[in-house]
Amino acid sequence: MEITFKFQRGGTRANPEYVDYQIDVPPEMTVFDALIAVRETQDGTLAFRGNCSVGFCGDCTLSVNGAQKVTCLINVGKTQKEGVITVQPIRYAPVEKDVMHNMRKFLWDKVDTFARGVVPNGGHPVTDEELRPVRKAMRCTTCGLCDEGCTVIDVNLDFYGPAALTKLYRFAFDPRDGITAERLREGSEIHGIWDCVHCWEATEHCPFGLEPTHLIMDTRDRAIAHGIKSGYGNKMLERHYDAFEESISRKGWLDERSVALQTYGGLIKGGLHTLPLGIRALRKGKATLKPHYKRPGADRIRKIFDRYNRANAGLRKEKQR
Amino acid sequence: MSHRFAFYPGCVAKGFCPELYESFVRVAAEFDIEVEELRDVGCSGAGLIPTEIADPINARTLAKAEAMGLPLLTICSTCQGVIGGSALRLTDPAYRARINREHLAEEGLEYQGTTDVKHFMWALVEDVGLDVVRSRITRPLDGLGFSPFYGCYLRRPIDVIQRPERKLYLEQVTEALGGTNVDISGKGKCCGFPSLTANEENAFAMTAKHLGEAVDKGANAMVVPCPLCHLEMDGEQSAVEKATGRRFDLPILHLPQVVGLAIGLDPKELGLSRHMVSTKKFVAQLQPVGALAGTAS
Amino acid sequence: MHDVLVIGGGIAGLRAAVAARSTGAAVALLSQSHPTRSYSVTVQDGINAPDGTEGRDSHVSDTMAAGAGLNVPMVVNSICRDAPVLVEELDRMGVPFNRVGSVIDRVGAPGSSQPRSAYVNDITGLTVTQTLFEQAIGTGVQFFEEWIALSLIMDRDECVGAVALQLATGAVEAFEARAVVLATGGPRRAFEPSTASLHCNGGGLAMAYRAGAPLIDMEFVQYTPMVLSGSRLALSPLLLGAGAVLEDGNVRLNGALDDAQLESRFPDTLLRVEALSGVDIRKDPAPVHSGMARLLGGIDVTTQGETSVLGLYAAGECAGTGFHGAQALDGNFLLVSIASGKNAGLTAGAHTRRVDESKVGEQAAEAARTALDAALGRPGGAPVAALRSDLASLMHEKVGQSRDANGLKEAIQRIQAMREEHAQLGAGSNTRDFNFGLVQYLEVGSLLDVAETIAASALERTESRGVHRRTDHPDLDTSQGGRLQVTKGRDGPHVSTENA
Repeated sequence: MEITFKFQRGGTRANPEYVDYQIDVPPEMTVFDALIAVRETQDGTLAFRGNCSVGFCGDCTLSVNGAQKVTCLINVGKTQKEGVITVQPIRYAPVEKDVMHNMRKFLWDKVDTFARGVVPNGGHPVTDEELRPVRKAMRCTTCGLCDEGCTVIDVNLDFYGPAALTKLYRFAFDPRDGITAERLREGSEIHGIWDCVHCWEATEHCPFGLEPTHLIMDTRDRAIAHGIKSGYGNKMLERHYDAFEESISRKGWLDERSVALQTYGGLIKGGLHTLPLGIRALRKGKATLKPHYKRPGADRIRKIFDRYNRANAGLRKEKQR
Repeated sequence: MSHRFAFYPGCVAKGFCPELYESFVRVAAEFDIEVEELRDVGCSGAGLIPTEIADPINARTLAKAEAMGLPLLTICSTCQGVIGGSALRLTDPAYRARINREHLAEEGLEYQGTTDVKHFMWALVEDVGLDVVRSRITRPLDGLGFSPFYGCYLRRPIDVIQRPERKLYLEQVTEALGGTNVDISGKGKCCGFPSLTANEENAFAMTAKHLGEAVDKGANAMVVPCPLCHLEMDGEQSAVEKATGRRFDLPILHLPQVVGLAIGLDPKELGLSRHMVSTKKFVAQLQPVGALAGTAS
Repeated sequence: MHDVLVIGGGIAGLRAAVAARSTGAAVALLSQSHPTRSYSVTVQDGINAPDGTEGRDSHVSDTMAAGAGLNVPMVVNSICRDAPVLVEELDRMGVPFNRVGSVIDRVGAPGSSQPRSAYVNDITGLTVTQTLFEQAIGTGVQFFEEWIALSLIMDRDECVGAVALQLATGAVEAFEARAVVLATGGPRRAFEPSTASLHCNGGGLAMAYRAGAPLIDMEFVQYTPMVLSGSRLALSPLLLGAGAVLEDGNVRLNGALDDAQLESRFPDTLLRVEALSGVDIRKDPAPVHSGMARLLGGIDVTTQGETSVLGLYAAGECAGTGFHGAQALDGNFLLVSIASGKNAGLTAGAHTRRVDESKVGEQAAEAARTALDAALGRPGGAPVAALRSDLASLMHEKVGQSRDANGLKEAIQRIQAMREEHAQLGAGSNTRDFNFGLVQYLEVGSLLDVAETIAASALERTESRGVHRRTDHPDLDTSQGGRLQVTKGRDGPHVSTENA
């Protein structure tokens, strides 16, 4: 079928400059193969990446007709609209030339931060069950589509992003690794796991079903089990979690007033920070003065927390060492 | 026909957003949604408390609704998403059995895995039906632009929201009420609230993006089905304005408030005067009760 | 000056880099793409590594039986002996091998008398590549990504580095090194159909050959019957090991795996077969055809990875280790990449010679710059692509699974003509940054050289043995039990029997 590739060669995403390339290819051909055919036969200076052509190397990620895709896993026939396939860079990734992304900046520097190999802990024999999370995370082809869909990267490119944090998960859940707590602390630094807003976009965007948002949430749970609730530099976040936990485990319910106050650092400092909003809110009747009563089943909730804290006591001690 | 639910209001609707609770109760009654509020239940964990703790707490909630023979109704996207996620994991019989054994058995509870968890928005579209909603309009919202803002948990993950069509209910409701849909690109993204303590800069950047886009496209108000989004978009709006140097002045309405307005309820009764961002200008644009819909929509 | 320069970022190259680093050497790894984008990540075979002495004996005998008398026994014994340790090492490094309880599982593969393949679902290649990359990052290997090696730097008869082209800028630089390890993979792109990634152009083979290193066993080109139709994806032979059958050009599950097993053991197969051919293998058979999968020969190396050129080592598919002989067993490919990578890396790291500062590196780089400048000015693009595609069809038809003297002679003549044509062509554009036309021109040059050595070796072996099938010589000839070496002569490849 006759296809016109409208290929972005300059301009911006919003105001792209396109060059058109026509090619006759079978509809079953993958978009990536068709693009390679264009480059090989029509214009050797067309800049885009790709290697394996079977969906494993993750290198050929592009925006095609407005949708972000691993282009070797979609075919021309289903992708084209009225014979046209528009090719653009993916969102948020800086561009070196044409649709050649600066993957070092967008992805690799971040992934490499958490890629330092397993440091064997010389521990117990490992079961298949224990390795399943690792195997799942290692299905990742680093195609970058999770970062491309990320709500936080949308506003701050410095966020490590789901791809790099999937790498962190791969180690945090590897029972053979000896430096789990250290890795979790590194991942808790600014731009790390606590900056994720768990919007589930990454899970929706992963073309391989790895559910990266879930993996980040599991990594956070892992960090909490180790007694790590924030990065070194953000005491507020740690207090926020503690206040949250305290409120729920004491009353069974969340009391935003006490959480807000404790989060912002005890009564005096916290009172100051929340006061303007608080006073206005009270005046407008948005907030009520009535604190949440203790729920009848609060002691049941307390027990769930106690059980969890007992189970993870060993890990927390390890943190203090 | 009445629609009965076990009602899980969540913390914020009873704390920092009392107007959500009150407007919901008022509107629910108008549509024969009968709710029995659960009192002896715990906070869902809000995505912050580890799954290992949140799942047992939520299993307890689900078991109580199940014992009443009722589906669970939420009015908060976060509660909906987190409890829905727990409910999904608890469909695994082995996992459910462990949670029952370790946490619920002691007080004689057992969760069988049957409780359906529904957000008010879903109940409104699926149980009440948009035709019924339309039939009750006495103050059509014609001429007013509403930007839908779902927040994260009512659009994803797909296995928790279960039906893809639910991703479009919010604008379907506002359009049914006569309003104009002012779509924004971030309607299913994060409002910024979860990042307030971790990275305020990121949070404000997100909020500013959504508010700015809605204003630029001519929205008169934004509609949210989640009180946390409301805390961010309404409560923090002035702080975001200060940080970004841009004035938005965009009223943020809870979903029940918008429905309530269209069926003729008093704005004050719906708590519109209790917002941080003034709704006065918006209220003044409303038609008098009894006006006819401009065009059949 | 690097202690060790590894060229190629796939499994063999990464394993070599990690091994060389463990000797304390400063290691640089140069690769055409980011290492985790290498062809290696697509490999879904297991790794043959039986546990226990009895298992090793049968591994040796199965390997020798397949190799039809051309394996080097010492190499087979040595690698089969090391195999369990190599897998245990990978496991400690972080490869999440499937287990039964806490013992690494072993499954069967076609041609193996016993289950002996260690594996990670259908992503063994992906997880081994990632793990080795993680180890390389962790131990401080220095990476040069998106550089394309052009030639070896020779100081008289010794290799002292390589000249490479940076894709992003068009810069040509000398990478001087006390030892160079080639791990650039095989020349899959010289055949169609094949399982080729774009970067499988045999660049290392061509560089070594041009520098005077002999190639060996080049006539043995192995096809797989399991290439998914309309794609270049080789389905995992472990599917067959798990009970699927290959019949009438289809892979059928025949109820051997239920949906849950399939989803947990072969999730990536399921996903890719659906994406690439529209078939849901839970319900329907997957249509497959045969395609070139692997070159069994390569740069002639010792067990320790040394080539005939001082300072030059080779590992992985570009190395002719003598392990496979005339035909390879499924599950032995990854094993040899890992074993030869480790051996070459250790040797290169331990034997870094004193190399004096000299001008040869800069001279070589300057020569390469001049050559590339000339190529930038010549026409290219479509005619170069046509050469590649003609070559790939020619090789498949005349030098593929069935060969005869006439066809091979014709192939050699046509390759020579193509090379003359190639010499008149170039990049098709004088752009320096990201000039893929230039890259294509260089790659086709490599493929032509390597293809010619394959055809010449195949012509020389007047018998049928292993995967080398001659219709004009259908039987095995016991007098031809020697391995064929190819060196670059004045007028083309010179083929001779090793140790003759």
